Amino acid sequence: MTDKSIDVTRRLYAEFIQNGNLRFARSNEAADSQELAALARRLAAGDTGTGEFLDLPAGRLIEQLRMLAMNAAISDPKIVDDYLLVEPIGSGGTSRVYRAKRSDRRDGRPIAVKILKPGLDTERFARRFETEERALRSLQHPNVANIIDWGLTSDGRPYLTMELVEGEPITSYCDAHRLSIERRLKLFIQVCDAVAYAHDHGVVHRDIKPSNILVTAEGTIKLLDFGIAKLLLGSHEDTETTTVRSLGLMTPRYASPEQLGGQRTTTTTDVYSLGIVLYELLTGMTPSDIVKKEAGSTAPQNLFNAPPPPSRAWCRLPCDPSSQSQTSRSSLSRIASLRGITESDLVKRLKGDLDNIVLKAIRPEPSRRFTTVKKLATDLVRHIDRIPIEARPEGIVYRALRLLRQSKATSLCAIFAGITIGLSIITAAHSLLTAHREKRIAAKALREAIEGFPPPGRPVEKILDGYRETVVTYFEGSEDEQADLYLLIGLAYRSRGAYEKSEQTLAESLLLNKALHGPESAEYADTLFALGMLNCDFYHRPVVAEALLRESLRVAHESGDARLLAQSWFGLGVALYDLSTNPWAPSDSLERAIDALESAERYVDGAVPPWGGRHSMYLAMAHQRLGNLGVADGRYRQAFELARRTADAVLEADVIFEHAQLYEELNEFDTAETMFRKGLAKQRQILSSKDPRLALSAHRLAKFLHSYGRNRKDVRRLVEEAISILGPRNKYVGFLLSIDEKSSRSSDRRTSAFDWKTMTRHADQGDLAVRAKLHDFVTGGQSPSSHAVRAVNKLIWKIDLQQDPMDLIEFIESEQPAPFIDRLWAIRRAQQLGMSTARMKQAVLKFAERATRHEEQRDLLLLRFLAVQNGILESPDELPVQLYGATW
Amino acid sequence: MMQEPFEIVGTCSNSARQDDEHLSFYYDELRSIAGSILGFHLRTHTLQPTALAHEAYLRLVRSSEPLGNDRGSILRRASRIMRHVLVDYARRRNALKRKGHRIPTELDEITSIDAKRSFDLIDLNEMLESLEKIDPLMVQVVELRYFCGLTLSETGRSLGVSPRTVSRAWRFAQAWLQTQLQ
Repeated sequence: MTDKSIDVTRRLYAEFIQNGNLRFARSNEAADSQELAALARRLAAGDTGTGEFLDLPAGRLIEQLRMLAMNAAISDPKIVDDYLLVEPIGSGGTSRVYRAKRSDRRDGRPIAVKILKPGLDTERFARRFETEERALRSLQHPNVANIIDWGLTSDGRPYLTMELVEGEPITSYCDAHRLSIERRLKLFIQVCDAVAYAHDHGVVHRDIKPSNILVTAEGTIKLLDFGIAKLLLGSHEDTETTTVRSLGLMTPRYASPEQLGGQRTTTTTDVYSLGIVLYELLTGMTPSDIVKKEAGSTAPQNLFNAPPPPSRAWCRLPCDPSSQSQTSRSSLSRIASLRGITESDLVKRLKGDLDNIVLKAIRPEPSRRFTTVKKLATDLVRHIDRIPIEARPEGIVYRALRLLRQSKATSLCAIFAGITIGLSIITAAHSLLTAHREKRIAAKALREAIEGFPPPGRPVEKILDGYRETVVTYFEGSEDEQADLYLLIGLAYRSRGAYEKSEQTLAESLLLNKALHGPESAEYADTLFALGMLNCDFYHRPVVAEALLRESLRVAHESGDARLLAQSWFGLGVALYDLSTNPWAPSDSLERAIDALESAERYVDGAVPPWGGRHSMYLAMAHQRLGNLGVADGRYRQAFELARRTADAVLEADVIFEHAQLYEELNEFDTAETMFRKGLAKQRQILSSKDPRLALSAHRLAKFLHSYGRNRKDVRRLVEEAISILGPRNKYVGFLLSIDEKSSRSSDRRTSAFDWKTMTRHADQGDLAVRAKLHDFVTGGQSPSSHAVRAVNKLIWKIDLQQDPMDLIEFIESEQPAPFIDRLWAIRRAQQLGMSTARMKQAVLKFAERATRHEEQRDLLLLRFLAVQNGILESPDELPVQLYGATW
Repeated sequence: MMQEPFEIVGTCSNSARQDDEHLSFYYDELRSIAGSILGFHLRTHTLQPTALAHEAYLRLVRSSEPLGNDRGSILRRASRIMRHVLVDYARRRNALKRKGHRIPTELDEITSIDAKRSFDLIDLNEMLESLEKIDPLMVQVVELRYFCGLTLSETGRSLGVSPRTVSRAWRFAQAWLQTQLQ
């Protein structure tokens, strides 16, 4: 193409884009070249001129391309480094295997070269090989085929060289030789020995299946591909399960539930796969074959949860009911004849020991299988020697538990899919654990892992999920370790802002600690404290927190332990302070908070408590609210000193921020602004950029700047920052925007209306915190935005407009689904309308009974609190509340 | 092979540090786009994304250029990668033919679809390189329409221009390419 024709074409194009035709094209210019003339003609001819040219998108061809990609389009080289590939001997999902010879030696022993198919990450592969190399090389066992070396082909694909094994898969070998059950078992025990040997050397196979268990012409077992799954995948199945499966990195028929669920695999995974192979050796089929043939069953859970015992494998065959008996009988007779016995003898032979052994190997929970391959082998040897075996059929309790857990299985899988390499410590602990059952060592490692948190750059919450699951599964039966580890994990969750998980985990710890150590123990009090603090700071459920901390205080008094006393008083002080911020709080809560915090200080007795100077900060805040500004100032300074001394940056930032609010109250705006900014800057250093606390602080500073007309530009920026942290759909965003609403009329009002809608929706669904805030917002001194007023009105008008208290009582006692707070509100309104206390009490108790059924116990404590406060109930004892496994 | 999301995202956002939430959103978006382009959804029952699909996918997500953070820029990138993958594939096929290798049957099936076209993908690729000199937007339109199969309005959205402009650019490109290829 000449420059000139490019130029002309450009001009033609510009005109065509402009007008959609070339009516005014300088055809003389175009005529200069034949090509351009043809182009102009085509364009002038309009739409029809171009026909179907390019109209079928090439993208659709990808479907065809995909079909041939692996096998056809990419051919393997003939020579790889020093190896001459002689002939292909096998092909799998991820690789092709060649018989090969060393090209530099004539008489070299043949070896196998396994070339991995493209798509694998070479760099990681190389890295993994280097980490694994020593373990793999240390495998020197007559029944294990060695990996010799690795390298890269000329087109960059990794390849492995390994001992060449010529043999037949164990299942077809046994059938071809019509081996008896006993001979089969003996061969299988050899397999177990080889696997156990590898486990002792720290190598897990993870893809055990008949095609990896070959029997040579001499009748020797050879296990192939040890450690390959790990080389391909890394130390955990951190990739998506579908991908793992689709790449053929495991074989679903022999894969354990934890593998299919994308969870961590261990030596017990191999136990499972071995169990399936044994199942097949005995019955000629795997459980998944049975499920496939079974009518109407598609859920793999059935397979995992209730595989039929080998002796009954035929009972559920096949899918066609009309021919059932016949087909299953013919299949049974064929299988029996391959084992050289009659049908009834085969069933008899499998019943009992072999059923129990196989089922124990393939239990869905790794911890309930044989803990080691050796134990599986030992039981088989015992069976052959007619010594009683260890495997027992499962009790009804376990089966029931399993059904319960089943409902959770999917979510656990989802969680596990995300676990990453941060678990390496656990793995180490874990292999120790499964190999030697040294739970204490494992617990120690786990504890160190949780406390030595966080491994950088990993999503911490997911790691914690993994830890938690580890505790559930592998410490089953060691409740004291579980209780302790749950407490640690619960605290770690909380420090990461995963409050709901924290609550669940702590509640489990509470139950265990109480059961194990008794209701007077320090362990129990510590967990109460942790759970109480959680209920204050995030959930803003001071009533629940108060109950928990009072219980903790009771334990502390009983034991007289100064540490527990200080801690419980401190917690109670915080809970009471939290309580005092509510409009309905008893008027003396601030004073009681101060008393509690001062008691804590007394028991601390000059030492630095684990919570650093936080009691001073709370004391300062309480005094500030009571108007004792001088005392407050002194306490803030004290808290700041303590924060400095203990290098507690989080506290330091908080104190600076709170102290700024004191200056604000003292009308020292310049100092206040400096300190707000200093506090926020400090928080930015220590908190992750997504931490909601950062949003709250940014919001607070924005509010300050806005209220005093300082630096309006910053207001907008800070509000935007807060919103971006919380996300536009966060329920509190409306409040944030409300500050901005007036200062920047130009702001997108639609957004702000939307956010109010989001918030109203949360409130509508009964989110107490949002409702309380909304209510505060309208009734409290803050300039109410029209959105807020509308939102609140919409929520309460239905109730506040009621004039007949009986209608309200009816609503309270009804089964009608309604947010908890609506009923609370109705109680208040009914009382205003003069309903008798006796009738109110009846309604409250009925409401409570309904709430218990709907598991709203936490809110029930609030109901009781308010009912007692308003004289509807005489004492809390009239309404016992069950929470965290205890009565409050 | 899909790696953990974190790593992929790490590679493609080497420009500025962005927060996790954004990235994971972004990754999902990227994956869904890549998935729909590469036809992952078409065979979900077998879940067998092949090496070629992986190759395209990996090229998309591991490219060292920073990705823009909108659907449009991802689509633009994806369509270009599709073009290169297909062209590379065509080259491979020609190389097999030149060396006298048997072309696998599956390849013939594709060629039969190719038969409707009177041109070679490799030639088309060269022509697109020339077209780039006239107007890069036209090339992007061809990539999005032809290699990604987007509609006029989708193409417009990805490029931030009106569907009418896309339609005109597309017609011009079709006419020009046809002229050149004949």
